[in-house]
Amino acid sequence: MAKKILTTTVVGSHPRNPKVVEAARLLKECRIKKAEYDKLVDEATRICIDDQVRAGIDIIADGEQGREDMQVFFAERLGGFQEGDWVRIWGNNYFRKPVVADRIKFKGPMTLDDWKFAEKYSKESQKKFKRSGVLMKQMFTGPYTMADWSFYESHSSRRDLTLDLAEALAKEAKALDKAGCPYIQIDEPALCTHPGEEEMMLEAEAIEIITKRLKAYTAIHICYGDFDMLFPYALEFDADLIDLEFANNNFRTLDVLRKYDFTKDLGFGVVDVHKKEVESVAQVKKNIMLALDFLKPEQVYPKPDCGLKLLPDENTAYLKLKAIGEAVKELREEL
Amino acid sequence: MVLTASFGSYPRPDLLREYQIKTYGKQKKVDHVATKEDEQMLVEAMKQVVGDQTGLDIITDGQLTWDDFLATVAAGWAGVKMGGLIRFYDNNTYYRRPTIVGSIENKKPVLRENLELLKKLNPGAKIKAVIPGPYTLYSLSEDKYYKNEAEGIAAVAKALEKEIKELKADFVQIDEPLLSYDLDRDLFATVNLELVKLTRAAKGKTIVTTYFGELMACIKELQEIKADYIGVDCVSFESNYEVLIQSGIKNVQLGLLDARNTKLEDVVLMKDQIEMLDSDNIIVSTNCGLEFLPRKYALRKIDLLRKLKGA
Repeated sequence: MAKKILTTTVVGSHPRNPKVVEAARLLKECRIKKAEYDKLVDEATRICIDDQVRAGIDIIADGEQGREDMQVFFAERLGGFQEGDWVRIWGNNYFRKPVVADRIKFKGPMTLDDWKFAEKYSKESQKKFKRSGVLMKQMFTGPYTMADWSFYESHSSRRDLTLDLAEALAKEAKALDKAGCPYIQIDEPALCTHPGEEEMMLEAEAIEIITKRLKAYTAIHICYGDFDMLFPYALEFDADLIDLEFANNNFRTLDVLRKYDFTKDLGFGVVDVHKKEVESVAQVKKNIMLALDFLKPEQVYPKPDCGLKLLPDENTAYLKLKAIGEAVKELREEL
Repeated sequence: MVLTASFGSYPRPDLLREYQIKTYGKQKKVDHVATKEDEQMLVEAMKQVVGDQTGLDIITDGQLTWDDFLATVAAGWAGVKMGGLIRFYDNNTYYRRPTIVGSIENKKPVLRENLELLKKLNPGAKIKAVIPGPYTLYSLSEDKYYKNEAEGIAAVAKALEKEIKELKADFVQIDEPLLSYDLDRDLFATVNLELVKLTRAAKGKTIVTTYFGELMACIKELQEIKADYIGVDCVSFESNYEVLIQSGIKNVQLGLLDARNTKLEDVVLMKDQIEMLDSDNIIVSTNCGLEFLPRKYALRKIDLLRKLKGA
């Protein structure tokens, strides 16, 4: 991939289109056909792509419109999982926590068709908005998180399950790589849950299973945790970029990174996805400069802290991305 | 004698879960006052929760209205504001972090009402009330007011004491997961002093319980705690059971069943573990609240607990 300065990207998700949410409910109740649902997902995906392209983002995603959530989507498509039932996460928010009842089996690519559709449409979108060189990435939930957010009955330990999942997800990565996906991201929000060197070594082992021999640029997204425990281990993960949240913790994470010789590229969260207020271009520029204090501009990938699905609507998501796009455009001229 | 007990929290029955989502969205407001409809729904849900616990010696109200893990009691305190979401230890669950901004005062205890409802619906089991411990609750909060941790812990304990005094239950369980999860030894004398006050204020037998953590790191301190029972999570760390045996602590709430995984435990093995403790004062339970499991799996764990009755 051609190296430029301050390559902008996203973490992956967009606010789920209300029509898709409703259609997903109707599909579950067998009140609409799968084709009707797919059509709405495609329409919503086109909107996500258009928004990212016109906002000036360089490496974009499909917006994960077809994913109920980041765990269930994959649990439903891998062998070994049983459908879960509701478990509360906070307040009145629940997710269907799956149960692993057998060894994990890769039944076929889970995100490849979505990537192909999105990649093809991104070319049309670039023509529409007079842009070029925009790349389409693909994301999947990592083995550590999949294991941590599942019940398990058939594996001897969480470690056993994590590595079993890594073998299956390596096939997913390989399929994307073979199809030409230029940027593969592994989402590991659970990584900072369990402290300790042993946990980080487990992640390193699992990541290597997935990323070894890939041609694609690789990234690991980690959020909402104690990043102190992540370093220096994350610098040894077999991935090109470490993608973290910063804006949400007032850039405290930078103090952690400054302690080390940060040799990888950094996915740098410069807008907060938990706040609906849109950051100004000036503020985003100021935020980006905080990383340039000790990293080269080629290493820094400005992006939102996390997936945009937590924002109230598509327009807020678009405006946040636009602030990043405009900030980077100005900085590229100024630097 | 071996008694079987629910630990505390319990998965919300479908009717309550659906009602709460439909009525209050992602989270009800901190100052929400229960409506008539809320109360009716809670009665129906509590009936189901009581029914699910049939056959256990000690039952709980399932903490069905606790929006925040352990932090719920603080939501209405003067001097406390509820802040952003924070991960609850090593779980994929979150609570609103209480922020202490002024002198803490508990003007209206909140736990009594659900306990009274439980007593009304209870077919004859012993009742356990559950309350967070001052050390854990203080550490889950952000303190912007008190001069030091000891002062903050004492203020939280005073507010909790007001709750405890109103709880008419056969057992009062004080949850202190932090004692085993990440104990600051410099604070233990303060914590222990406050726990003494709370156990004295309780009307029923007291259980000070740990969970999620490694017993090795806190066993000496646990031996000093003056409670009728010490709660021990024998699941999260395999070594905890062995450490417990060697400690000589005999009055134990023994968390032998994993409430964070669906896999079912071996009854014979658990009976052996109970026997090896060689004690007449054992309460056997899950390692933590059953709310981490969906209801159908919580029921399976309760079935196993029933098989340990009188073991």
